[in-house]
Amino acid sequence: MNKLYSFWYQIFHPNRHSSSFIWLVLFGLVIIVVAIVPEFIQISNLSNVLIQMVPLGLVSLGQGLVILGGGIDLSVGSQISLVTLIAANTMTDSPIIIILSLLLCLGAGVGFGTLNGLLVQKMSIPPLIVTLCTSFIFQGLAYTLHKTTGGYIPSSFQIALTRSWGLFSIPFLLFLGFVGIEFYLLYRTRFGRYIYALGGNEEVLANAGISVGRIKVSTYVIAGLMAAMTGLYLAARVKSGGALYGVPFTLNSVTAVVVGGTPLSGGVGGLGGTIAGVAIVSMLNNVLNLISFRFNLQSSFYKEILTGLVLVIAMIFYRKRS
Amino acid sequence: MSEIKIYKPNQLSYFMKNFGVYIGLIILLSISGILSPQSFNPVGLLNVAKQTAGLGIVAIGQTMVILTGGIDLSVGSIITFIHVFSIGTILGNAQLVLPVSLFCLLLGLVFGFLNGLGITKARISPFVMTLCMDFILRGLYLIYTKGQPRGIVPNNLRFIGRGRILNIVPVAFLIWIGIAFLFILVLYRTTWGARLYAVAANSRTAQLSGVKNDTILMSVYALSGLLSAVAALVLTGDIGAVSLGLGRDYSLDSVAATVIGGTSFVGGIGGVEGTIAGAYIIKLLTSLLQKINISNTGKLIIQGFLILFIVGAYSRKKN
Repeated sequence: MNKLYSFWYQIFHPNRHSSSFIWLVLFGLVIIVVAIVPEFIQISNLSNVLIQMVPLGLVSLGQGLVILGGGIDLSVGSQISLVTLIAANTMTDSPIIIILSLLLCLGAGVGFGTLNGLLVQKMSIPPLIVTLCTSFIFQGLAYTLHKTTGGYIPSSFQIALTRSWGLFSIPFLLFLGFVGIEFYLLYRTRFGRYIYALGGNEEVLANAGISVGRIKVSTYVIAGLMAAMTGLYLAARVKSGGALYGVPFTLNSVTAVVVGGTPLSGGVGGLGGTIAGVAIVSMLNNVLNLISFRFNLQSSFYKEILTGLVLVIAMIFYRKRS
Repeated sequence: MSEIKIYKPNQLSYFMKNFGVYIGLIILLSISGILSPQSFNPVGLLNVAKQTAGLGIVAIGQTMVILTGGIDLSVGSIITFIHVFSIGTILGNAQLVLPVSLFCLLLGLVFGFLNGLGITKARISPFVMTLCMDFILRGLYLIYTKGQPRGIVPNNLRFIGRGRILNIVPVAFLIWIGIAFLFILVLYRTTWGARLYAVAANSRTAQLSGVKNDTILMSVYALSGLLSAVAALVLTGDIGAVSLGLGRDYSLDSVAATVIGGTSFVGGIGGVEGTIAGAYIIKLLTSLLQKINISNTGKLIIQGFLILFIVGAYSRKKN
């Protein structure tokens, strides 16, 4: 048995990008949190945590692929807001309209992703600049649809997407389904290998005769699609659309992916780590809610600081030693 | 030696590269003159210049950051933080204005320095570091104000934002232009400026030539924080009231002003002289859009496309 791959070796000589290490961090955090805030472990709160994980989890699945390929998508937040507004502005009680509106939202997500991908690929503008600019374009479009929050989401759609039984709920099962799909894509197909190669060394991939552009654009398309999914779920949960609903998800999704062990340079890390990252980020947010409820504080103010700090600490932890 | 020639402001190609934006400014001025002739006069244009002062000052710092191949997305939150903090501690007391202002400048410098520290010592990429700083500062000022800022701006602080020399030339405009010229001189006529361009153009070469890259980068981010604090004080004097939304647009606006002014994300190309016009163009565009009633949303979309177009056009040319 190779010592390098033994379980104990990974604990005592943590490979900073191995997901088992991040899962250990997660379990350690759970133990600390339960010790400090015992109400965390109650079934009602745990199912809450799992449901709260879903939107961030969905976006981060897409963000994870983009970052793995060496890019970044800073426009997912505005994409989410825009999709919630598209859904809230087109849906009516008729089932056919609901399905058409669903398709429209998913199509919009694919469109946003294609736009990002093509700009990155064809114009050779750095992904950071492209997605920062498109995020403002999408945000502007969202404001034109609705200044604040509003629109109409039929109850049937809300019930269909938010039903839950104990620990399990439709959104969580949906999330597990997408994790399964992404697991298949990333680890069982050639496409997945190419994404790793894209983040590792783009030039080598191109020299191997693989069309780099198509793979790169597809990562952004998947990110757009997952953002649209998130938007649909958020719209169903809050029963409205809002021009600012997506704002926290941009930095949170990047944080989840980076905490999960995928560096912004791409090529290393993967799905397992990202899920642990999502769990860590949403758990910290949940704990902050519990603590601020106890001390009567405004939790949203502290969340911003927490997100920023966690990302900085993760980046310092995973930084390249030169 | 050919590399050094670019920085000498006495060539036609240099002029076209760094002042091409002024041709764009003249075109936009003509358009605004046609669209709203009633405000197209020296007084109206100086009013726009007064409104531009805050953005212009931030954009100078942003330009130096982008010159080094980085980006500073924390300027918006630094501005709001300094804004609510200064008003909240001055509380209308005119005697407190000077000490509090000096302390605010120090705060801005520290925030910028922290950015620089994370970027150089912890090797965090600039946009992640400054984005995180943006979030942290936003959380801090929300906690500081509890979401409901209050305070009054005394008259002597209002003077630097609102005041006019001889009742014509806005003080804010003079501060902006003064700082801009100072930094043009610093960038082209001091060793620090030459080193900055050297680090920006090729950091490895610069390091091998004995430039302390980390020191230069840290000072650039610290200056960006300091200039954001200056801008915050000028803007506070101008609006004369508390607003949590004051700094919101400044991160994107300053990046846009810099890019429009001809500074490239590649690093080492461009300078403050173009950014002056870039900032004026942004504010002129904003006031034009307000006149045709698509102010905020239209501005976001147009700016997004504008940056994409300029950066895209540049990187295509390079290929």
